[in-house]
Amino acid sequence: MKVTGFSRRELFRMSLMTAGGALALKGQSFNPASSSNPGGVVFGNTLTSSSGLMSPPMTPWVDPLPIPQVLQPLAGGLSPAFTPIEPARDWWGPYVHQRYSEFPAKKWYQIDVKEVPWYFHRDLSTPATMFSYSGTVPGPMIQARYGEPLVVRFNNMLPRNHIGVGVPETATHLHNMHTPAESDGFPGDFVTSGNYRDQHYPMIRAGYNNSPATNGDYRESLGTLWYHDHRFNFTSQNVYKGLFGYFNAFDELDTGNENDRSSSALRLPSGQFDIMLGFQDPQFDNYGNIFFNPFDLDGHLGDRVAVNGKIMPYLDVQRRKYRFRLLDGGPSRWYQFWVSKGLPKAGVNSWQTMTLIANDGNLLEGPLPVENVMLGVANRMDVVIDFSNYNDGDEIYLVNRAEQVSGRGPTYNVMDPGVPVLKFKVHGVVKASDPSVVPAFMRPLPRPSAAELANAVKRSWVFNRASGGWTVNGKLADISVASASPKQGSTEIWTIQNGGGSWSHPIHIHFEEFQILDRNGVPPKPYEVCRKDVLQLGPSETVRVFFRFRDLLGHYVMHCHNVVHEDHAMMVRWDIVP
Amino acid sequence: MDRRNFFTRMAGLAATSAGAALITGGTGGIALADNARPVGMGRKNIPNVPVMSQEGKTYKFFDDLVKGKTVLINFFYAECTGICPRMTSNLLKIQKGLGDCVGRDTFIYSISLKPEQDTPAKLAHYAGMHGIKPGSGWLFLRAQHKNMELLRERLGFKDSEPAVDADVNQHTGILRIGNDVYDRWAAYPLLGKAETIVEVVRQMDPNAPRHSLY
Repeated sequence: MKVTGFSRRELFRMSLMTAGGALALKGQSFNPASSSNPGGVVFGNTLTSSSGLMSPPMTPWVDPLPIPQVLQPLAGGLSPAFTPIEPARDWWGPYVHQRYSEFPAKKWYQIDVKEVPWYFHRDLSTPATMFSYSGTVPGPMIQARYGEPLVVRFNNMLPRNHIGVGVPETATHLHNMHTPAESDGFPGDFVTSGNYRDQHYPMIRAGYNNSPATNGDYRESLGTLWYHDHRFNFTSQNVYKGLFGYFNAFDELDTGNENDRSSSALRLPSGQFDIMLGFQDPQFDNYGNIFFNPFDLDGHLGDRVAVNGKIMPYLDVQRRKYRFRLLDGGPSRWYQFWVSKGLPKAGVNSWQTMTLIANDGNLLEGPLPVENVMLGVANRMDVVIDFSNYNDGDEIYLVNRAEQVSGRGPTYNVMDPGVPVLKFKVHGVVKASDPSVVPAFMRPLPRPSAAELANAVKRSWVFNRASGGWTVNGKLADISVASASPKQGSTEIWTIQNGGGSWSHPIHIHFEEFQILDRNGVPPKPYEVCRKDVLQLGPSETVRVFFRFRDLLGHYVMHCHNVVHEDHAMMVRWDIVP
Repeated sequence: MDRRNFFTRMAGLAATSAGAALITGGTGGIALADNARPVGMGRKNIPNVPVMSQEGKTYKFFDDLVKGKTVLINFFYAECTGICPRMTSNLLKIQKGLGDCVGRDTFIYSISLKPEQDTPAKLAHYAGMHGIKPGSGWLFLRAQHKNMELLRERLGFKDSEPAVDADVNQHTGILRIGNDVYDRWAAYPLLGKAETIVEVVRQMDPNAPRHSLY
């Protein structure tokens, strides 16, 4: 069905407004009765694998949703002690942790990277052999606060002579923290088995140099992040193998306390009502181990969706508001999540409203009521779901409706009914007490000024395919050369273009958040009026984004976050220079 | 809430891991049982079809050319005027960069996309023209057409766009890189920087020294 004024892709991508009068497409654009139209609804409720394999059957909704445990800081610090000037260790170094004396660590953590047997579902006969941060898939949650710098020691205990998918060498990227280059998990900075690397997270906000007294610009605080492996040429195998975990940052607005009486506190749902949901799509063999085909360079698609490391789990919820931080953990699948009251059925409108509060981990200026959210790999979308109006015993489902049949990207068709991936079981004869608030105004956006736009340096990047590999501006990844060197303190406008007519690429730029100026020549939709770090770049699209480069120096990268494309070799290095 | 269950499970796993000495780190990784290995990796994926070299020798592809070795594999044909000459010339740089391990534990295989045309004599001429000596560890290979297609498919050299795949002039420029000992498989576009590819190949051996990629 064609809805005047919007392309199918825009309709698909956009979070459909159900309040505020922007758009009312409910039961209209996605009416299965019209599915004979190109670009409408496709019937079906299974996910297509890229390998053609089918996972063994698994009973739905029998395993509880795992909530990754919060990592505790080390009371006695690190041993051996952290050194701001790193000596030569492993095969790299020496190097200096820039500005460490200004932002000395107040908290110390250690994460052991190690092999672990992991049951994705109780029905699988054997565990999958995974790589893990601290023994769980995903790894533990780090809860950090602005103004409390931390150091995390990533200690590689993977077996050096590991056989099969994945390499036992890690470069851990905290996506997308405002991190010094030497702690950013640069793809060439990997640690071999038996060695560790200390990463310093200053917990300063962008714009620090202009306003150190406020620890940078409070409008630049980040919220929902994740850390994952970034080892050159092997990121896809290692992330698929289990190397990802969660990191949430809090500040004086997003305090992580819904009872906070401070005047600046937003009091969003917090604690046990603030839950990160990371999605990956493993493919299982008959035994329960995971399958990955390193000979498929289009991308990996599994036929199952693991939520926090479990297939089709359930979560008991109270009758109140919850904040869910949705993360597409890749390697290649895009998702479009809807919420259904009861199991969704083809042709039946059971879709519910949720409230989008953050895009790529960054709070919007105001909440947006939406019917769905779309995530490309590494995108994060924070939504609030209010269960207070449901009844005791109601069953609510989170449903993926994005059709995708190959690594090239989603088809931009909506599946009907789609594939439920998580069940919420509502409990409570009466509504639960709920001190949390979703304020009408959350975090202001530091929009570019006319002068900043006028003075911006302009660059263009074309993401394309060539001879079976992947290129940026016609070039293959070479991390020994900086393809751009923005000056510290400057502003830039990057035009990011998809040169391929049938491929979609989630483009991730490290270090600085960007703001979309226009997409295909028109201003961004409300859900993209924000700071972002992963750009959904659909077939033949062109997007202009605005950056400010500040605070820290060194080497960073931009790459496709379909990590199979990244590995082969859709990545460029860029440096911030004095 | 479900937290308690999760923690219980975690505690169980931690105990199992410690007991089974899985967390060894260093050089002491334990070998996994065969059915605990992900399927579909190299040694299960690579056809053992007969191939013939520019020297006229016949090999079983997996048993004789891949098993126990580090390999670099590309597809080409002798009369290609597209990307093949640049690929071959970059492979020469890579061979030089890898040094004397080529021919010892590391081997380069260029497989003809046009086996009907590329006779051993023609392949030998092509190798000679590029200064590639017999016994240097770089073989130019031809297989029966159907076997070549099987190799191409299993090694991941087919384009997912049928029109592109059917056009031999648009053939892929990917270099397949594998180490059968560790069943470790990667790929890199062969027109990439030779120094980068040399390092990627070296790093297929977990115990080889690492050098910076930048």
